[in-house]
Amino acid sequence: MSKFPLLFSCIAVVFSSCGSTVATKEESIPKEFVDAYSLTIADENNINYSGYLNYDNYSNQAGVNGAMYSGYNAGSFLATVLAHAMVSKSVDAKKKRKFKAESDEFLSVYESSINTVTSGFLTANFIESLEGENSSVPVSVVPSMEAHQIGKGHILSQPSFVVTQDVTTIIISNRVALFNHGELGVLKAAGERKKRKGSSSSRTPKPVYSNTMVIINNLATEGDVVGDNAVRVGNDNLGALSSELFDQSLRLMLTNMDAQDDVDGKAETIKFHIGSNFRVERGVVLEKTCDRVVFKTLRGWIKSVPQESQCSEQAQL
Amino acid sequence: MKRVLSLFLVLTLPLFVGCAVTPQYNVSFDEQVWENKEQKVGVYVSAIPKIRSQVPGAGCLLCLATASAIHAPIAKHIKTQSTEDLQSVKAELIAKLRDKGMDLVVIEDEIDLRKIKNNKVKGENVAKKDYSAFGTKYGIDRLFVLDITYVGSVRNFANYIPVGDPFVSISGTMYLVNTTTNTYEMYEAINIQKFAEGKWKEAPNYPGLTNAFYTAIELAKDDILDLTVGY
Repeated sequence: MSKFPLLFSCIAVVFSSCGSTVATKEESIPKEFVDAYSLTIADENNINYSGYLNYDNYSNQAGVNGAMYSGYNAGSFLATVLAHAMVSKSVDAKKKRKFKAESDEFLSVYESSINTVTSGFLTANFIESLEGENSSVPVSVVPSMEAHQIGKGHILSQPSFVVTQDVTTIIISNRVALFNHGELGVLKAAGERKKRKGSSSSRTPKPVYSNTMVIINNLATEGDVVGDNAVRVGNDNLGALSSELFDQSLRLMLTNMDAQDDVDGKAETIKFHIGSNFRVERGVVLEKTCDRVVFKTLRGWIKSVPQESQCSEQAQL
Repeated sequence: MKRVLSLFLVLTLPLFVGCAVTPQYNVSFDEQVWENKEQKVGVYVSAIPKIRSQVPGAGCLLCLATASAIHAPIAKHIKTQSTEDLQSVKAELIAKLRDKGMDLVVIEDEIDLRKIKNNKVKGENVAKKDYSAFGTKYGIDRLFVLDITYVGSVRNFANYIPVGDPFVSISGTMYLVNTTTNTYEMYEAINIQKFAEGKWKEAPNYPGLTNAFYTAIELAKDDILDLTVGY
């Protein structure tokens, strides 16, 4: 158990270093990464859940509108302009915090279920799912970096979940970083440094690949209509849904990380629904199925979004 | 003294006349209009304007220069985006109207809508311009006009200080005029404003605002098609 604080520190350093919102690929992924990985989740106990921020009816027109500027001299004029800017920014930030807090309120009902979704729960379910089938992803995964001797790469994952206000949709956003096992020593050293809060002489670990995987799972959408009898996220299925999305997000990473260099094609507009909310995003399409589109977003993230299902039509053909 | 007062009145009166113009309120479309298959309907879609930027609220010259400089990187980026998807609405609209069995006359001539002569008749839902000449020229009973007047980025300012986040705006009007009576049978203002969802300070490519731009285009297209042929 004493390893956990060290592990935490280690992971915090890694994600602070790859905190950029843009996907990175430092070098081409070595061939030996195709087989086996070890896996660590950054948040050891508390996986983050938040309410979906629906910007449809949100106006960011905060700030302070009018202001009288003192014009005795250039100094006082500048001071009043700066004061106006500071007050305006503060009001704006306060409004955004309030908006976020209000969006999270409804999740208190699901607190007990949220507490059961731990890193151990997600990792165990993922490994079980890989072992329990002839997976299209030819990998094996072990739960901790301590087992690195049998793996050929180490995945650090930081999943977080968003639930829509009508609880018909759950979204995973999983920040992932893949390290060469040669970097594990650096990872640990970085963790120790962080723990000591002292020297900063050594280098920070460098991921071979880092990106964010986003999967939107609409439970209830049939066309554009979310009916009263629709399936919803609840205390009974929150854990299973989260686990399934975590599983899918890692598969998304493992199947798409090699393709990163080849997707600088023409961006197109992709339309989809999050619950009953219509959404549009620009991206380069990587894969289309009868009910999903996987694309590379303008931020470089890999995103899988639902489409109106045409699976039955395709089956008939 | 009387002369001064008269001169003052003469000079200030036009200012108050400007405020007295009644705005045209929305007129909901009566779908029965499309049931008449005998009529000929002219369709005119004005050219989509170039992408621009605005900084309303910057009320002095120095304020305007400062606001424009602050907003410049966003304005420059948004101007590199494509309005191709918005231009396609014309073809979609025409196709959907034809699907409804309408006999259309698509007007491809360049028309300056602001220069059409004013209508002398005033009244509720009476068009301010005189469209009767279109009826004669193109042999149409009704004229549908889609006029997008603004596409671009906007950031509100209070003098030198930005008020809120930048957003993308698409505005314009669309209306259906009976060319015989010169009355509006539909009049709808298009006014789409879309903010970036979450972060927007992501120079130089501003993915959040770029997505907002294309979302605004899709919302405008949906509005146009829903309000006219979405029945």
